Amino acid sequence: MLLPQQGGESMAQLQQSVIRNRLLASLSPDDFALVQPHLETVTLELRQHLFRADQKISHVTFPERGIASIVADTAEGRFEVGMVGSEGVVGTALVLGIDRTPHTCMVQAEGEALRIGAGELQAVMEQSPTLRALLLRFVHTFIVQVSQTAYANAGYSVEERLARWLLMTHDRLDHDDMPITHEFMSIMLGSRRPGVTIAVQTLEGTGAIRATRGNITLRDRQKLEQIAGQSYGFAEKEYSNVFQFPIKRGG
Amino acid sequence: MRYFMNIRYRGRLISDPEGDELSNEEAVHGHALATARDLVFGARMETIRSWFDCSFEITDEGGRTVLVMPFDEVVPASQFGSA
Repeated sequence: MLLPQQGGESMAQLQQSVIRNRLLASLSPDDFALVQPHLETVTLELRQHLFRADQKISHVTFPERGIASIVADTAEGRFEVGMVGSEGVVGTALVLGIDRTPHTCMVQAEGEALRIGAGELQAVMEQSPTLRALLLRFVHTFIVQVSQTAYANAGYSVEERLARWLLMTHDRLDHDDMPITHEFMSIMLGSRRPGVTIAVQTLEGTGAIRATRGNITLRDRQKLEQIAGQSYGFAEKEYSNVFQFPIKRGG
Repeated sequence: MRYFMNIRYRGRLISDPEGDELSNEEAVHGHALATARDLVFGARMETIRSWFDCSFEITDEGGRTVLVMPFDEVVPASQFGSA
């Protein structure tokens, strides 16, 4: 039986149990109670900007569903430097006490998210060392992901990098169908579109994926992992070591 | 206008399913050259042993070929010359 004064707490716990974001879901009940009043539900529209280069980052965003990409926007074009889904939080600069970055963040796969304002985040991190520690642990795993992207870009072929990118995208989605164009993958990989078209055909030839216009279906994950080789796996393993749960939903 | 950047590689034609939006046919050559340059100098691929074995066979929306451009056009001819 619920006592009236426990009403608020049990309601907060009930809400945490339906939260899909892995970081928020893994908070202790006390830490969750601290952030819960500040959480705001938002939708993530395709191509929507969560923050722009050199402009104030207003919120940290915890994706519930969907994927956000951190992209470098240069005169030469834009390319992806990192991706975040329901395993993490977007706007890591704020966790580190910095309110802007030279990078832009845009939605790569639509969904929903919970967000908390920059000021409220600072306040709750001041109040709870365990909350701050959890967010910092994610920042560490994100740095490892970005480092592995640098490694993949330096040493791997377009086919291998595409395989890695598809695996990373698949890790953050609940389904095998990925509605993505060659144009979009070419931006994400920072490689001209004909290179992506050839790589898609090659991967399809191995049976790892099936490609139709504007859509990639993952058919054989193991095969894709084989093709990606050492470019994929280090960052994902680091994430599961740090958090004790896998980066892939249901994985 | 949409132009399709199909690639001929060692006899095989790799069709471009999406195409690029360009203002007019005059813009096609510059776009092909810039794209080929980035591929030659920036994209290592397992499938393509040498980008210099490739040509663009660019078609418009009606399927008409508007430009055939071997990738070695990205290297100025003088670099091969005896002078």
